[in-house]
Amino acid sequence: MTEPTPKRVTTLRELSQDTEPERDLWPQIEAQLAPARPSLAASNGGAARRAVPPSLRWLALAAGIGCVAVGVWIGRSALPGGVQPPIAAATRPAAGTVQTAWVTDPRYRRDHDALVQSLGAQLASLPPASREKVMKSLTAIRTAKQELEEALGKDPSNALLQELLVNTYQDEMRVLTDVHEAGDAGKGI
Amino acid sequence: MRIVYQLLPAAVALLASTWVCGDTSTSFEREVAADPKGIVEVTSTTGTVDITAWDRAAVGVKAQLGSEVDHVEVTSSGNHTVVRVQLKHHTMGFDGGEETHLRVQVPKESEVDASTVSANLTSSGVQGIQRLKSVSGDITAEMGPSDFDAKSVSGTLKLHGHGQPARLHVSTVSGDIDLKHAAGELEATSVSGEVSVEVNPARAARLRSTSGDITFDGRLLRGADFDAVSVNGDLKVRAPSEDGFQYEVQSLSGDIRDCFNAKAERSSEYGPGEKLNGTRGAGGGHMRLKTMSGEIDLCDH
Repeated sequence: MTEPTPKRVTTLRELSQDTEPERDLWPQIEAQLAPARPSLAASNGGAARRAVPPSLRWLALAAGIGCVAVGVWIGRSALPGGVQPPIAAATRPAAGTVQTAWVTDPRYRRDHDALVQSLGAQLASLPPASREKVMKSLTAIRTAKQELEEALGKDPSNALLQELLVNTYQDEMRVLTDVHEAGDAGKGI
Repeated sequence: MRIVYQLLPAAVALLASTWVCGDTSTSFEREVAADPKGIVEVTSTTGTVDITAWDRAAVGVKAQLGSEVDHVEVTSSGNHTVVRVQLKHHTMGFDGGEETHLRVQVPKESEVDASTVSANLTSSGVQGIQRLKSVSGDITAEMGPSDFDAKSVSGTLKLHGHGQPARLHVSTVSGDIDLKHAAGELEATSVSGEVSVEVNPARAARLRSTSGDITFDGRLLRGADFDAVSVNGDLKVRAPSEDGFQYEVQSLSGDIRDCFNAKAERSSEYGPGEKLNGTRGAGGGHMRLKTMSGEIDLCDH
């Protein structure tokens, strides 16, 4: 008669969940821990801290400050909704949107702001019907920019949206320039 | 009754004199010798400007001048002829006065450079380079075999050619663009105007709008480069090609349709958008169609 083959355990669940030790092990463990506690308490405030050289502590402090500074910089300038330099209200991006990097280029902003500032006077020099059509076009551009910037806020790496946004900024500059030239044409003839 | 007969001639005379005094327009006519292949510059503000080509080495000007006109300047020096309608100083061109109708005849090989504000501008028969510009006036022109450039802020561009290849640049802010029987290389841009172009055959086309729809109809030459982009407008392209093209079609929220049973797929696993990439025929040309919310319809036959 052969002995029955022991059941093979294939998962942890098959192990018994309620196996008790033969005796209470805790008193022996507690007795071994008791002498070690005072030295551990002393080492926390003394030996362990003294083991770190002062120069490393300053380095750690500087690294901490650096991390905070980088975090603030990212929050203010790189993330959507960060603090942006003031530009004309007519072309300011909506909250929660991203801007194309070159929009903050000083030359672009200078030219753009100058054209926006003179826009009112140039529009006033157009015939009423033409002025109304141009206003509608500028609104279309503004709406497109806002929609694209909002969509890019949700999906900043979308190449299609990036391309369309750059196109729209270029179109806005073209319109502003054309209206500027049109106003001058009326005066020049 | 007898009194009526006696007063009738006086009444007629009075009416006639009123009519004569009310018509403040003046006729103007002049002709100057000009280089057959020279530059003719035409500038006017309101009314109409009509430029036609003839076979003579001269520039002819006929005009009916409105009350706002001070004088018409017609000068020719070297290969440069200038026709300029000069307004009175107090007039800015939009005062709703009598309209000026200007007719200019130029040598057919001339290079024409015409500019108006609210005047409607027409040009026909010119074979040289044309640069036509208006603020709110419509431009209607016949395109020849030379480079052509038309630009308006709110005016409509209605242009037609004869299938002779040329480099064409047309743009508006809010005006519609309607171009027919063109050929060669085209760049058409509008913000909110509808762009409808027929180029046959096309070597290259670059079409762009912000909210206006774009429609293209034409045959693409071997190795043609085609690019149509709109933010919110629809793109409808029917472009048979000599050696096919590689296509790259993308829309963020609009539908993509085609007539060759290719199926658009999602642009990314998590974000919105559809794309359709592939090759038709030998894939010699390149076709790129992109929009954010517009619909795209592509067909190659």
